[in-house]
Amino acid sequence: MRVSLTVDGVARDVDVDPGASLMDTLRSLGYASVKNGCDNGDCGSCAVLLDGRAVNACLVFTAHADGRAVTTVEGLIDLHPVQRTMLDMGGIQCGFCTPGMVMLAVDLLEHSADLDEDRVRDALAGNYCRCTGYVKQVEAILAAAEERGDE
Amino acid sequence: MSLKGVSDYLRPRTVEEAFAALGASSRPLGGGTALILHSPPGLSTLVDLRDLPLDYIRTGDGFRIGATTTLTAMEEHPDLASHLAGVFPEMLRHVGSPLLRNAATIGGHLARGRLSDVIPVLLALDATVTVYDGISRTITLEDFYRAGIHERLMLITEIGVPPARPRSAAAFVKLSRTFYDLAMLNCACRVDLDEEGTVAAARVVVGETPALGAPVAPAAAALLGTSFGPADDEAAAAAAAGAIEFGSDSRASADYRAALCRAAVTRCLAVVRSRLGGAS
Repeated sequence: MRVSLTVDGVARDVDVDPGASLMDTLRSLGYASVKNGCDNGDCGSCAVLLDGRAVNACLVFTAHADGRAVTTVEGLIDLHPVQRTMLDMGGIQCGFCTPGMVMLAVDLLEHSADLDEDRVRDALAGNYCRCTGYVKQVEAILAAAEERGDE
Repeated sequence: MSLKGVSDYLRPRTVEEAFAALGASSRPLGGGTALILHSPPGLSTLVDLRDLPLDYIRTGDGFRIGATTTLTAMEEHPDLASHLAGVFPEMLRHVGSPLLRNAATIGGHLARGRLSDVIPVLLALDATVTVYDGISRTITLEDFYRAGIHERLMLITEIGVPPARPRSAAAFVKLSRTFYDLAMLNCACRVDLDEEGTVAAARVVVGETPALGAPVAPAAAALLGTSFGPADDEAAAAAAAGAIEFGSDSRASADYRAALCRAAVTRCLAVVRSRLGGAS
């Protein structure tokens, strides 16, 4: 079936199987930042924004995204503040979970006021990192929140 | 997880059209997060409900929540979030992760009817559900599960949450191994006091026993007519643990669940009491 998506601001018409997941479709289109960690909705490495909200791309049917805007980490313009704080504060080790975690953080910073450590840790419930123990990422997201004015 | 063997993807515009498209090999899709992981054998047609006019939260006489509303939209709705001292966000932040809540819909969640933190809270609040199966009717969520309607061919169109009584409070407690994990046991309670401070109505709902959450009548009866002191919590917790037939699975044993039940009900009622104290 034909599905029309906007991916990172570019209109894409794709021919997909009705059962195809958005993750498989994006990866077949070359968006290698959308990581296939578990294909089960547990790890969050495939997170992308769908109309501005972070979702597990492995749990969304591509057809369900028809006519909607998808943003991958590759579509963030320049460096998003949270990408810069992740770099500054060492929130990245092997990097596998980073794209998904950044997209979750972008949604969180956009939609949640007054972020504190508890809120950030709650929000990371579905983004697994095997290297860092989360401390650096939590600090980086809080630093980005502080830059925009949270206390 | 791409599904093999799906040949059709439909986007009906009306509830009637959507219901007519359902069948043995055809399933409705809200966010799709559950269906993509646990598709029934022989599934060939997906019926995407996104074009139905069911994405809304209406306030007034309580709340009316359209079936394709996401769990995130419920968590972020200011009136729903402040209803009964914030029991909805208190519960919803435990449900999966934001990545799941941004996609999962309330109708899809209720139709699945298993592994739920949401259902105990809705049961404690005497929520209703509007179902379409050729005709549209509204029944209590309790009757919906008791009659097994979630296992039939039907569409959920709306969830109703009644307005709070003047002196009413609710709370939710989830006991799990880790934050993101499924509950080993969960509990939602609501207590309404009359003008004298006596319990006029109570709901004690215990879930993941490991059966789906259900109101525990003997526990509510233990509270009714009392002045709702801490000793009444213990009595209700003991009544709940005595009335439920617990089972064992990979998350917890039956014996452990019985102990968790006493702890969860006691804790949950203590939170309800603190909220009633704050409100009176």
